[in-house]
Amino acid sequence: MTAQELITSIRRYIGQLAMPYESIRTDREVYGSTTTTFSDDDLLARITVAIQDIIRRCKAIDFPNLILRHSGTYLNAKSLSERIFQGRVERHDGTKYVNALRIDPMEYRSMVMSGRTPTAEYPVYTYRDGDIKIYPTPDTGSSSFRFFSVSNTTEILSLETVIPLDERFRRAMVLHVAASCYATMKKMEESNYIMSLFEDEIYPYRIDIIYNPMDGIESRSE
Amino acid sequence: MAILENYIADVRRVINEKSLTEDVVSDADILLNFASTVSDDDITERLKDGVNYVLSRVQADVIPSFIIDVFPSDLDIPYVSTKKIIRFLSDTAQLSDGTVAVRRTKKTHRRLSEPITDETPVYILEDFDLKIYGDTENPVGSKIKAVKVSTSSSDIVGLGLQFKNILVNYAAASCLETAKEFGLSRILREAVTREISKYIIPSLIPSSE
Repeated sequence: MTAQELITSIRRYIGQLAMPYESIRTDREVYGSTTTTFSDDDLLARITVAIQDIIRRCKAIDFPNLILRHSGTYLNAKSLSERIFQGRVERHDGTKYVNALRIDPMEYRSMVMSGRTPTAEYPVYTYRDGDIKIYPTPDTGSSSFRFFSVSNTTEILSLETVIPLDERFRRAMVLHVAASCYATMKKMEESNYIMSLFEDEIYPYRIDIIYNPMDGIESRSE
Repeated sequence: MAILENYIADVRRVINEKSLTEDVVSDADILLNFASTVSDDDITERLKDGVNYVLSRVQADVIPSFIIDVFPSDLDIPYVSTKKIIRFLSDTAQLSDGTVAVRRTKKTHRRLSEPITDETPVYILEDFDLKIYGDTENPVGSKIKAVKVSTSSSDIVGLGLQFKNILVNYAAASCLETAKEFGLSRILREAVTREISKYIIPSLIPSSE
């Protein structure tokens, strides 16, 4: 599904014609019509917001195209990621990647104090304030450890851009954008109602727990 | 035999509308008449959204034609598989010979030292990661079942007649929202919720009910 197709759906939903003039790029340029017609550019921006909202609130398993794998470059990953998969931090032991267990920094401290140390076979990692530390400390190099995260990069630049979310979220995206358009039109009641439809639409895909960005736990219970 | 036209005609009945003339292919062609007339394409799109709405909420045994096999390699990242999954069916992980594997969390798997054999296979499904242990014969043949996403309008009819009312009401509610008839839309939405509750996945029933 491309951004153009999604915009067609949105216009259908809010019952609006496309703007007839190429030169009109934002609503404000249409005299006397500031809140009744939305340009493609305007809708593209609203689609981006809708996608980010969905990514923030739904399980990553529902948008696999947005899952990233990072190798040893955590700082870069931070700016690209909404949250990491805490169960998928892996240390390279020389021949293969071994899954590391997350422990609390204090727990690690008391572990070391009591004379126990993690091994290459059973590595551990701590994760606090956006920092991953893996023990035993891996060798330097891009493949020394890897982890997975959910991308937050959803910048939509053109109508031809393929939307990273698939068909099951089309209706949710349409509703989110429609609610936002209605809000712009100062029709708050309608906007609220459509937002409640959006909530209903994403209900089966929601993350069950509350989390902070970049510090969340991704889990799915069936 | 149900066909898509029947569904569209039913939606028009619910929202009390005549169909468009042949010349008019989309809503945008009707100047200043938006929100009062809905094209066939438009209704089909709303019905298609309804299919995924149903698939994401009902129990798998009423939608057998939407169940697919997913192999661990299908989840390798970067994700290039064309399989689009609504949800996994957790109790259906199998080894290549059909032996059922038991689900375990990553945490438990690390803590338990019980050996995994062909007779006591386990699988882990967390963080978009599927691992099935115990298949020494054919590890790549281990699989789990999942509900797939609908991408085609043929799925509207393919979903089965028991869901026709739900789809029609869902699409009609959506049309009424476009027509700014939110009160009527709400009534149809409630009808959708009521009807789908017969098939709904237990964990999706709101706790207040």
